[in-house]
Amino acid sequence: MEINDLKSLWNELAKNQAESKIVAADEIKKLIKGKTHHAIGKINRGIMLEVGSLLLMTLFFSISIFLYEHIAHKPLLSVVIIFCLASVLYYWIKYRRINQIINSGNNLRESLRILTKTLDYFLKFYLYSSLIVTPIAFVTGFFYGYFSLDDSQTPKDLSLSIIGILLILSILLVIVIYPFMKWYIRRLYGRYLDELKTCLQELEVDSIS
Amino acid sequence: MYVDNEEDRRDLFQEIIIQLWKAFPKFRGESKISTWMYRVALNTAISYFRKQSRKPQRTSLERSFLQIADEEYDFDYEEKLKILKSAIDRLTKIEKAIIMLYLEEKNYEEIAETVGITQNYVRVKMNRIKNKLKKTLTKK
Repeated sequence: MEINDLKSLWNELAKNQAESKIVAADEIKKLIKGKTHHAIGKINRGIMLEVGSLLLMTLFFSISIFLYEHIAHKPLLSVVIIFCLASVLYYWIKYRRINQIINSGNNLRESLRILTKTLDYFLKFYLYSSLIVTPIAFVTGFFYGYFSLDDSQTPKDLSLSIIGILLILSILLVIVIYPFMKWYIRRLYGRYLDELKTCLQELEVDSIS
Repeated sequence: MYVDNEEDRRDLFQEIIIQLWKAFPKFRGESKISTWMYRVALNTAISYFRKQSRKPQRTSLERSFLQIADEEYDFDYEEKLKILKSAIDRLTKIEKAIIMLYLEEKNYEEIAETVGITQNYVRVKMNRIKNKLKKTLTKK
């Protein structure tokens, strides 16, 4: 079979398939309302999930502020609420930016550049924010518990050794969750990102040659 | 071309419709509508995020690919489609995009514009693809 034969074969196939796969307007409406499996759609859902959880946490901590009388609760919870709201704002800005760059009708090379860059950035942000937030949550939790105890159970002041132990535990926590987060991210997007990068590399050869 | 089974094909078709719908307000008429549609469709197909749990079902692809042939019992046509499929399967995603545009009667200028490379590089790629296809086709 010659390559030119492929062309006629392809045209015949395309013609037959086009005739058998005409979609009605109602069907298109249904398709448009469907859930997207595009990577950007997946990132968007991830962001929405993060924003939803952060808003729930904000609500929970805001109610908690009024439930407890202890002097240490208010400043600690205020810090957590401010952190949650700042994260919500950051995620919202990212969400808007991501959605401005997709569907722009760019050529394949440009789209792949934007997509790999966006995914790379998002995955790095996800990894590093998890590594930062986990020890912060651990230390905040400790202080929360520490100041919640009755005076009789509480040492009079925080000794250097306690702070040292906290620091070591935080570092250990980061060491433990780092490989887990790497594995998790790789499982979610790793192979997909590699495939996209390979495609982009194939096109970038043009500018090198 | 980019998916292995009927379910993925349906999902990808839906995905392309969604992306075309979302992209249409941004269409500025700088290129032909067909070029723009190919761009969106190709971008979507290449960056399609296949569900992890789904395993490729090559037999169902062949069944769907050969659906027309089954109806007409045209064994020659069926055989040719099998060869076409196996030849295309050996290409990379980018090569598939280029050959698909070529088979759709697009000229090198349009292919270059859709893919985002120079016309010279399209020629280079086309030669490589033709050689690859020739090897597969002559084996058959």
